[in-house]
Amino acid sequence: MMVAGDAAPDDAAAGRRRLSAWLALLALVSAGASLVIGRSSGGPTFGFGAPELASTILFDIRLPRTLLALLVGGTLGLCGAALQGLLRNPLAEPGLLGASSGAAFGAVLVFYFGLAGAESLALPAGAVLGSLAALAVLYGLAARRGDFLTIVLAGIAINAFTAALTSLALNFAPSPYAALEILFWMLGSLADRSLAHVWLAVPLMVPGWLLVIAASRGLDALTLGEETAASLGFDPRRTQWLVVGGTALAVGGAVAVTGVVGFVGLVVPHLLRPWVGHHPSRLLLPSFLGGAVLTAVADIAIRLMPPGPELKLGVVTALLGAPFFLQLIMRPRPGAAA
Amino acid sequence: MTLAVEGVGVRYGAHVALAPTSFAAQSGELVALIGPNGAGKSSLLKALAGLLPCSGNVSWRGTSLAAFDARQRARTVAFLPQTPVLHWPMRVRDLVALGRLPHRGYGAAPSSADDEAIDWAMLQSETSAYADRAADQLSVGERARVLLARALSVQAPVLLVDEPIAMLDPYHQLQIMTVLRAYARDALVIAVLHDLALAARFCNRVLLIDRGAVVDDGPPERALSPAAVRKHYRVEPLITSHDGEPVIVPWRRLGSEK
Repeated sequence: MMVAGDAAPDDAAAGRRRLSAWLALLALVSAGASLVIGRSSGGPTFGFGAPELASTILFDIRLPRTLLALLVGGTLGLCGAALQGLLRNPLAEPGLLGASSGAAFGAVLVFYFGLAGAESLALPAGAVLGSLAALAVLYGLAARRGDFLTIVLAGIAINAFTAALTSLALNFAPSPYAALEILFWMLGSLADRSLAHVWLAVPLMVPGWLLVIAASRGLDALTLGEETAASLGFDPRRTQWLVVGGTALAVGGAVAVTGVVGFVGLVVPHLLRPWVGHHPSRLLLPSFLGGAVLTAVADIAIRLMPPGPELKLGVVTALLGAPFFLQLIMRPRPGAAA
Repeated sequence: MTLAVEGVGVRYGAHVALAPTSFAAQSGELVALIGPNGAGKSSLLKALAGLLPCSGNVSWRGTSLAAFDARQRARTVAFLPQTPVLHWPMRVRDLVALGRLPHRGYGAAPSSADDEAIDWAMLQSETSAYADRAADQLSVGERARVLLARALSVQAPVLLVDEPIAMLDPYHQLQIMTVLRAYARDALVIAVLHDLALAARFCNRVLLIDRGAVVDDGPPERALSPAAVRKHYRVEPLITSHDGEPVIVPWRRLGSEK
């Protein structure tokens, strides 16, 4: 008895491979576009300019920006998918655990004490420390009880507290210029990043990804609830700390170099889930690729805007993401999860 | 092959849900866990499955289950919880396939043995017809049978099922009891049941639990005698037989308030 839209097992597996292949192709295409499209004060530019500048433009400006778009977007997509699987809630997103707000606060502190301009590495280093501190606090608060609800509530509390501290820093900012710089940084951007930023983020992202991926079978088992998952040999606590730890590491690393980029981790897994038959582990790779594509495309869109101040990446992803997400959740869903 | 239960007790804080309990059960037995609400049946079943902190020890073929590694234990003892939980509307066959997770290495594709076990479990539970449907397109009873298929697909030598027929229509109640009976030919099945008639007909052993203690352990005729039903369920049973098999129907509540 087949229902329209469903496919036989082999077709379904082939469909998933096609989905990932298409997303990987899109990621390559957007990476290529990102390498050839630039922006100057006069608006978008194409190609690499004067021959003697070409290698500088390609390797020092566009390549780091492109790599970071893919890595950060992929991280947000992957971690969003894993967190949604862990909490079995399509509204979970990477910012939920406090890692990104912790990273933001760490960066703000660096600004506040005037340790760094926007381009220096002291800033991401501060953000990394902030995100790790947030994870440590989360662990300290939630490890003893260890259930999902405690983790989420502790994450919310950390978010609220670090947001308050960030506002406090803005309040007492030494100069209006510093406050503006803090605000802008928090909006998220890939402009003016160097390969050093890439090397700072990758050592956090890669272990984070691996932890999350190690939890994938546990996420599948959790579809049947914690008791059944445990009876299948997947301790829910272990799955939970793999995902929480991996997300905090990877997202902390991402936020450290780009600031806070919203909605990618929420929208991408939500959008792709029906394509993989709502299968939590099968959602991870497409979400990584989809997040990379969305972020790279948003960053290209920023460069294609007419002359004027460059838009911030976090602003664009939220501007594109929020209405799209609303449309997605408002439309009638005959097959909605019970 | 013996499951040996020695002094297994469960407490929630100061409340004793199950006093230390000991019994042994063998492959080939279909054991009914019977008793009123709150008697401790589910606590015992979860303790056997290793899902609750408990006192005492459970061993299978002479080895304590605590000494098994997680996957080995999951392959040995399959568990179906009382409340059907399904968080994502996955395809039915993919859901049943989750029962094979303990048999598969990380990242390994399902083997032909996995596929056979999945097909067999869906055939047993009569869920093959909706293998490709999303789980949210099923009725509650259909979903319950899919989740039972998931537990069957583990093909564990010990199968623990908590109220497997509570949500099923009469046809499927009989059918699932028949399946459990057949499964128990070379495995041990322990099932929490509320249907006394089906328990008496299909199970060859009844553990009667009341107020956290096993009060009888024996053949259905004895454990579900009129006196036992009166005492522990506070109902007057109608007991007769048909084709030489017992028929037990709860008929009237006994003077409830004292």
